Amino acid sequence: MAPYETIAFALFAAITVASSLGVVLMRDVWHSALLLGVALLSVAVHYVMLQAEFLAAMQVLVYVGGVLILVTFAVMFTRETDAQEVVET
Amino acid sequence: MAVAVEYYLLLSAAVFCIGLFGILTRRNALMFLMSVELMLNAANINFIAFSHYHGNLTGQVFSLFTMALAAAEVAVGIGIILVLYRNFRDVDVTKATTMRW
Repeated sequence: MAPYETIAFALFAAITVASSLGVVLMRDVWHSALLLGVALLSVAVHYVMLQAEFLAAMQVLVYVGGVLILVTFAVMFTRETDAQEVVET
Repeated sequence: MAVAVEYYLLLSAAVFCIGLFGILTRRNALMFLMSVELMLNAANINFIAFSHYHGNLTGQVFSLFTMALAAAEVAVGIGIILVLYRNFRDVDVTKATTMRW
């Protein structure tokens, strides 16, 4: 039983660290926001493995449902696009 | 507890350092917000790992407060960033020098 849990922890820890690195190192802010969603969901998986199921549900609801939506709204509002110049000319 | 608490501490320290690196290196204000989210999540992982390790629910309750704080902080930060973009046409934090002495 224990090796499976260790393997699952290693897998999801790798996913968390890799997606967090992706958030920081991506050049495009939109890709960073998407990878932030992956990181937050994998942290929720860690909460489930730590027997904190309510906090995992709250993590998904508050972070992925609230914070990430706000961040993606801000990214879409502040992104530099070429289409705006086409509309203006 | 199958996974030792030290591994959770290592994971949390790694995520926290990644968030700190993001804050220190990027100039986009939105990246600041995302890196702060990463650091708060690292703190939450620490709280819940120790809560599970000691069999005490205080850490889980405290991390609930941290989540509420993060949500409020992002709401205020998004408002500030949108006003910054409206005034300066950019979210680069080095461009906004109006309040510099």
